Amino acid sequence: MKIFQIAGFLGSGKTTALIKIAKELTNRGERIAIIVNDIGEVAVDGKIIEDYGLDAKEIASGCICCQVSGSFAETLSIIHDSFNPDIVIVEPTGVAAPNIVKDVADSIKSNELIKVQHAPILTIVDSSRIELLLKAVKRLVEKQIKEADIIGINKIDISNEDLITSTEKFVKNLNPQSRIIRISAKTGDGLSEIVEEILNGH
Amino acid sequence: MRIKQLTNIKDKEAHREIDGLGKFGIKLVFQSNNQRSKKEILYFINQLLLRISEKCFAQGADLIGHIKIHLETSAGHIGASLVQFNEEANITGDFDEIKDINITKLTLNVIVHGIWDSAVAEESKIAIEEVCKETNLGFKYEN
Repeated sequence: MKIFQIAGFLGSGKTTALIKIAKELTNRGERIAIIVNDIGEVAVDGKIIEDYGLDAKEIASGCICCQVSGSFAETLSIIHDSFNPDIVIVEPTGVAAPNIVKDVADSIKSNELIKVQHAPILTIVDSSRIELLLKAVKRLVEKQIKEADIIGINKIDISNEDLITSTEKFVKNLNPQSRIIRISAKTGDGLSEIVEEILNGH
Repeated sequence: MRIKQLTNIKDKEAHREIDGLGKFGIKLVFQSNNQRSKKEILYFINQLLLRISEKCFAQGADLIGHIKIHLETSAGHIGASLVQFNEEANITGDFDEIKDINITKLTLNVIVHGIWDSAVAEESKIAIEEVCKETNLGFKYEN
């Protein structure tokens, strides 16, 4: 069972990207499961995902990397035992730390029957409002970028070239090893490259 | 099963930024005679997102995390989100242009930076009540 995590701050476009990536993986014959985590008491993302004919397990009322990590590990175990998909797509809250989510997923390895692999971690960065984000939540955004294997510079359909280029430079400086891909979760641009990474990446 | 906790100082530091986020979520059920056109429904959604953001910013919010809506109607579902102050909402899902669409249920999730949860809740409820009154939509909050 391979786990693919879509990280990124609130409003970066995670849910929109998840829907398109999930559909493409399904079209390629992969059996997928989806876990979405909402920090708020009332979850919306799962409903939106289900409107697209996809089934999502929702974990609400806290962040899976710290507040409700037990629920996340338990959900992964249940999904494995009941469905055993090829890929579990995980959308943590916009404030989650990617490496901790990965560690929590690894904790289910204590059951020797479960083999967990990780696809590259994708962090989505909203190029259209990067300056605002760095003023308000700099450490969190930087952490999400540093812990990514792939960084999707999103909203290239509405952002301008200067902002996109400066976001790429900023990201590269923070995480030189990452692969940077320009994407538009809305139009689907760049998402096929991410799907290739999920299927063939480490 | 042993679950990893936040033990690293840097993890804790970065995660402390969650404290700066004000959150609120609620469900609304509409009265059965709330029939509107598609155009009127889209206007209602846009007005609600805009009004909530305006009220939160007036109280000191400086960044929208997201303001998300999921609306259930007799003609299908609509998702809408606003992430940038003073910009248009992103609306997903669609339904055909039918004259009388019955609005049944709305789920709202608001996360903004810079004000407390209680302020987000208060401002969001004021915005809901104002916009529903202006558009003549009868509703009640669902527990």
